[in-house]
Amino acid sequence: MTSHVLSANTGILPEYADLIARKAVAFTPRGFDQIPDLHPDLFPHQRAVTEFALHAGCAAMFLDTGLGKSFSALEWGRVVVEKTNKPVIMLAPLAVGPQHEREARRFGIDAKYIRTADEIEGPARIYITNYERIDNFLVNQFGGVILDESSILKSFAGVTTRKLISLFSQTPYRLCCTATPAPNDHTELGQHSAFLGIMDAPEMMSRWFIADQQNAGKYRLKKPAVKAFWRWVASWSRCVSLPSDLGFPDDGYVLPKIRTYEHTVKADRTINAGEESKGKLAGQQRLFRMPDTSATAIHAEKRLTCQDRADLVAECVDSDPEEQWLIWCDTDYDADAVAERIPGAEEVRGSMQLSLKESRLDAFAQGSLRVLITKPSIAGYGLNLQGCARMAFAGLSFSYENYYQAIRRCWRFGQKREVEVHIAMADTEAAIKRVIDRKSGDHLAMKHEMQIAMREAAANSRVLQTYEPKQEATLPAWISA
Amino acid sequence: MTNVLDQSAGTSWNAYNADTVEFTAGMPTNSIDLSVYSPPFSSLYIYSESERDMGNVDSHDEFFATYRHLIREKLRITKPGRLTAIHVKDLVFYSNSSEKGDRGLYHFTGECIRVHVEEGWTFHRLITIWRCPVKEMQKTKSDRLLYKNFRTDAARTGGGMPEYIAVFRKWNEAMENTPAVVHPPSQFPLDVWQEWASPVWMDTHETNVLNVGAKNDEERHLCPMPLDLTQRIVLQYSNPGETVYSPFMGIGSEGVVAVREGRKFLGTELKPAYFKRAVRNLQSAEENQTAGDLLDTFSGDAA
Repeated sequence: MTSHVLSANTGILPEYADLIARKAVAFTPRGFDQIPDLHPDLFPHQRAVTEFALHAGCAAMFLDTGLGKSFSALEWGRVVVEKTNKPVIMLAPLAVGPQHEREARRFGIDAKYIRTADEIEGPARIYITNYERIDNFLVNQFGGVILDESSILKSFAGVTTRKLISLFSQTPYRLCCTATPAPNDHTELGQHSAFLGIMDAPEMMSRWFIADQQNAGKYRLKKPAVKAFWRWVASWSRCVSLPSDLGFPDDGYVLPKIRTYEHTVKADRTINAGEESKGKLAGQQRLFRMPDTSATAIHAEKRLTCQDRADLVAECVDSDPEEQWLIWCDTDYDADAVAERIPGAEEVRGSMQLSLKESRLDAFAQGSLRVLITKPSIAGYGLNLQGCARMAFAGLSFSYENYYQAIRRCWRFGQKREVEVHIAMADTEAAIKRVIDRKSGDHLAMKHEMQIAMREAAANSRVLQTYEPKQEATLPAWISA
Repeated sequence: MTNVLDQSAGTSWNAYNADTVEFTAGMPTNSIDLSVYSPPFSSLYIYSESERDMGNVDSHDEFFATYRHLIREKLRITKPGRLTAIHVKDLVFYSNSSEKGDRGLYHFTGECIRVHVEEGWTFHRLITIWRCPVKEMQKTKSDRLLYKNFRTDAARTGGGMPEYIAVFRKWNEAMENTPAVVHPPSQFPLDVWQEWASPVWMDTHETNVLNVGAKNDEERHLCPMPLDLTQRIVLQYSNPGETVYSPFMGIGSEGVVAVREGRKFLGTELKPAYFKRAVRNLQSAEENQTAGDLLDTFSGDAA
């Protein structure tokens, strides 16, 4: 039986081909096809994400604390240096730079921590500096850029973030490293995608998100878009909470126990009891203060209990004198009160010189400083302080993320001992703890959903099935014009 | 050369696992006697995760930009004077997918007609398929159909949504050379014609579909083309032995009807899982057809 062969149609439909191309929202890898042998000490999940990021060229590594982001990032940088023969710049939060330099040395990767442009000399290598110092450098000399703890973009002013995005928009190889993003944090994902040159945040929003009718200014993922969205995210990132997310064993990645102790200060409620403001009793003096959860009330409450909370923190530190202690404060007056009570304790606060902050944080990381007092917004991100297993909060704020990140400085993979977290709070502040606990539950539930979606997406690592027909079609003999 | 992902054939059918636009563009001009199918209803359903899936679109505009290519190629491959019939319906939209935040209908049927005409087809006929609003309400719980709203806020209520078959003709000078489709009165008496000529088909069934053969672990087709509708179209608009084409054959509904009615069938489907089931359905339709012929012969002898 003879058969007609279909006439050639390649090139007949260029317009149609264009349409299809636009529809494929998969990010197209623009990295290296041939990836050289990677460092033998990389764990399988680190090797997998590093290979993925090198292949993608511009990619994000969303690795939870302690999974070895920096080693993977440094190895990525090493390959980019080798392939491009140009230096790679790594931007890190304050005081994290020296930590990376040490880690690089340990693995025999050529990386140097620098503060100014004159320190760039000799053969191409990885240069590590702080976000705050980016203005000291001409960025077009770099073949690649690594943003360490890139979720820090969120805490920068919009101008700073936009500046970073435009500064590196011509850099061929870009890597962002941070912990797994909060699943509803479209700002963070949008900033990453924009920085990596994958898609602008507004386009991302209009494609997969809708404005929440109940909450003005809030957006949520469109229900039918959930899979498509995470599949797209998985086309330019890898998201790992445990090695098993990528199909590797979790051996050695089981965290030690964490114990949380709440120490309650009985606030004297007769102070500033105030008077009834409305109703029949308006104007009458109250016997007791009635604290609520408004920001002003919380601040007033905190000032009243500041000294008592500092006493509690100092007691904790004194009772365990062999241990390093990390003390988190939310305000300067809390920090002052704690510092007064603990001899030898040093503080890192926002107003200090960069170099002083850095040396104190480094001293604590090295173990030469016993007690460090600081705020989650200053040292809560990026530092590996797993040598320390005791921390105290002189008070809590409503930010779950700050709390979570602060705890994660010590309670991370690599921590060998049980971690103790002491929280000093007034009984009148119980509302804050309740909010933190609730957010913690929400976060875990959403993260679980995202992990499932990302795991599936990573497994079939292509966004849309590509169409690659290989068989030549034959038409039946009975078809005729 | 048009390449396909997979292909399969029986004696009276050929099925291709392929992108339908590319495939259709590779077919010979004036080679098809009739095409009948249900296009993807814009972005109402996403049938597959392929970028080639016409249902995988962000907007109706994007859908029609793609579908238009098929409509154009379909005109080219259709014999002069012959027809294409598409099974469509209008789409309800809700506030959360509307820029204005309103709720209403998108006249998908009208857009399909407009684009066919723009691409050179002549709008020939529109059949309204009656569907029971009570069943629709039970299935969709649509705001538009609730008695509660009818009692309290009737401006919100609409009515049932019919389906349509829109028929288009390739009007061309050469159409005289194409053989006429004929209906011997012995097989097609006047009352059959009067029934089929009805502008509204009241007596067809949305449940008359091919999905029953799905194995347990197989994905059911989201929206298979009803067999009774297809059968009327195939019988009214093609002669036995002629070629029926479906550019979206899905699990093979149009093919099964065409083969049963003694036509040749050509179909394409993008989704491998549907393609495989279409092949199975076509194979068994052909086997039954042969068995059916034998039965007819025997009964004929006996008479």
